[in-house]
Amino acid sequence: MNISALFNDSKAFGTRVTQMTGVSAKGPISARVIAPERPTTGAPMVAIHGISRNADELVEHFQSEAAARSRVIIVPEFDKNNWPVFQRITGKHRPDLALLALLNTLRQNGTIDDQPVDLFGFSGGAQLAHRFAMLFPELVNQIHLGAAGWYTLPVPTLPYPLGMGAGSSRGNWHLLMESSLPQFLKRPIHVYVGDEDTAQDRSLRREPLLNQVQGDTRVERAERYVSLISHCQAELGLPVTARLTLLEGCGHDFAQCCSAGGLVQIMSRVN
Amino acid sequence: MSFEAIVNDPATQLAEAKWCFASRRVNRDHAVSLMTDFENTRHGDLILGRVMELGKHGGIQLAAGRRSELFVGDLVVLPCAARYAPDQFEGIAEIDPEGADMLAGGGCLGKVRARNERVKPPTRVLPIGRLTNSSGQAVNVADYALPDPERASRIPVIAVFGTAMNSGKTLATARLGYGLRQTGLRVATIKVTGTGSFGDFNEYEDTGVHYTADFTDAGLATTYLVPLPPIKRCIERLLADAERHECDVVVMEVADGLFQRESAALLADTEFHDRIGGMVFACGDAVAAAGGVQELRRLGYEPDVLTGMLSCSPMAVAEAQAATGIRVMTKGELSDPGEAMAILRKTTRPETKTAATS
Repeated sequence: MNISALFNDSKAFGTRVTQMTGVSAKGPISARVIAPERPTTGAPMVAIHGISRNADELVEHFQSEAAARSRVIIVPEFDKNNWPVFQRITGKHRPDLALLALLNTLRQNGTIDDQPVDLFGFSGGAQLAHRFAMLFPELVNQIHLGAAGWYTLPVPTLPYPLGMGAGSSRGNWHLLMESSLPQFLKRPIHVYVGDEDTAQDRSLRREPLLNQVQGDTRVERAERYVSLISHCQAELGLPVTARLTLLEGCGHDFAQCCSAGGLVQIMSRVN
Repeated sequence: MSFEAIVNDPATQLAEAKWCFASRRVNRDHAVSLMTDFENTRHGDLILGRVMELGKHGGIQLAAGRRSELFVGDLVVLPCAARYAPDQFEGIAEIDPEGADMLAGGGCLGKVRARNERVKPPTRVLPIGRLTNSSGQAVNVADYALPDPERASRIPVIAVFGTAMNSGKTLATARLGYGLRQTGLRVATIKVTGTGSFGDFNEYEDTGVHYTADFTDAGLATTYLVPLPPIKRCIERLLADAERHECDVVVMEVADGLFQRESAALLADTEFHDRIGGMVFACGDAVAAAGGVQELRRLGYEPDVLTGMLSCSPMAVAEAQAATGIRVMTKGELSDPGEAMAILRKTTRPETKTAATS
C-alpha cells in the first residue's frame, strides 16, 4: 500500500480520509479510504463512482456513514488513462482486478479485516458493483446499486454482458458467473433509482435488444431487474432479498439522490 | 582427546558440511557423533559423506534454499532415501560403504538401480558416517516432522495430478494458488509425494501464498517405495498444519504420473478419494489427456480442468477437450482470480464425520 498523503481530515465527521494506491495486473488503482476515528465495527464498504468519476462527491457523502456505522469506506478512483472502461468486466477491461488489488492491499496493511465487504455503486459504478458481485459473491456481503444504466441479467439465453450466455467478449464470464449465481442470489440486493431518472440521455446505453429486454429508462430497468432477481431467488428457494427503492424527486444525479432522496440514510437503514 | 578422535571429530566436519534442503528441519546440534554401520541405515537417516566424483548433480540444494556448486572433496549431509525419476534415476535407500550415489540435488543418497541413458552417472559420495544423537540413535528427518494432528482436517483440497514428470503440475499448483490468493483467501500449496527438492517449494513460495510445505516437513525425505499409510499420515500432517496457519484452501500437488507407484496407490485409496474435493489434471499432450482421464474416471475421479504442457498448443487443447469433454486451462487462466474461484466453487469440503486418513 502506498498512502501517498493524508487527504482530508474531517473532525466534524470523526473520520480520516487517506489516499492509497494499489497495483493490479491491469494497472494501478487509487482510492480514498474513509476511516472512522473510533475502532471499526461494521463491515467495510466499497463505494464506486459513475462515469463522471466523481469520487470526491462520494467521499463527501459517505463520511457520515463511515462515522455513524464505524466502518471503513473505500472509494476507488478509476482514472481515465488506466481505466477508460470500468463498468464492465471483459477480456480487455478488468476493473474486478483493481477492486481485488485494493482490498488485498488494505487487508495487508490491516485497514480492513477478512470479512466480506458491502458494495455500493452509482450509475456506471453500480454496473461494476453487480458484475463484481456476480463474479465474486463470496467476497461480498450486501449489494447496493444506485441508478445503474443497465444490468447483466441471470439469463442464460442472453449473451454476456447483457445476460449470462456465451457472448462476443473474450473470457468465460458467462461460465464463471453461472458457477457463482446461487451464491450471488443469496446476497441482499438493494436497488435505488430516482423516480425522475427517466431521461434517455447520452450516457444511457440504448440498443434494441437491451431496450426490449430491460426497458427504456433507468427506472424501468431497475424495476425489471429487481423483479427478475426476486423471481430467480424464489425459484431457487432462497429468501427474496432484492428490493427497489425509488428516491422521490430525484433524477440521475448522485448528489441529489443523497441530499434530496436521502440515499445514504436509506442505505444505512437497510444495511 | 586423542589425535585420532580430534581428526574424526564430527563437530568440525558437520559444521563444514553442506546440508541439503531435505534436512532443513533438523536441529544440527543434535548430531554429536557418527556410526559406520551403514548396513543398518534406514530411510531418512542422515549421512555425512565426502564427494568423490562429480556426475549428474554438480550442485546441491542447500537447506538455506540456494544451490551450491559441488567440488570433489566437499563434505555433504544427505538423507538416505529412494528416488523415482524416469528422466534421471531410479534408486533405492541403501548405502554402500565404498561409495553411495547422489540421487537428487535436494537430498537423497542411495544406490542407483536404473539410469536414463541421456543422463550422466550419479555424483558419487564416500559415506563417512550416519549422524547420531546423544542417545546414540540415528538422526533421522522423521524425528523433526510436523506433529500428528489431534483431529481430522476439514480444509478443502484441490489435488493436482499429472500424466508424468514435467507435465506441468508444479506450474499448475503455483498458478492456481496465485489465482486464489488474489481473491483475498488464505491459500496453502503443498507437495505430498516425490523427492525432496526446493525447486517446487520455491515456485510455490514465489506466488506469495500463505503456506508452503512438502512431505519433507512431514518427515519423509522422499516418498518412493514408502508404504501408503505413512504417506497418508504425512498428507494429514500437512493439511492440519495448513489449517493451523488459518488457510482457507489447499492446492496439493501429487508428483509424477498416474501410474507411478505411490500416486496410483493414493488414487486407489477410498479415504484419499473422499478427502479430495477437486482435481486439476496436468497433461503433456492430447493423447495423454485422453488416456489419463479415462484412467481417472475408472478410479472414480472426474478432473475439474485439464492443464499443463498441452495448454500451450491450441490444437492440442481442441483435441483434448473433444476427447475428454473437460475444459483445458492455460497457466494465465489458472492465475485469474475469477477462474480460480470457479474451480474452488466446484470443490467439495470433507464431511464432518470423515475420519483421519492416517
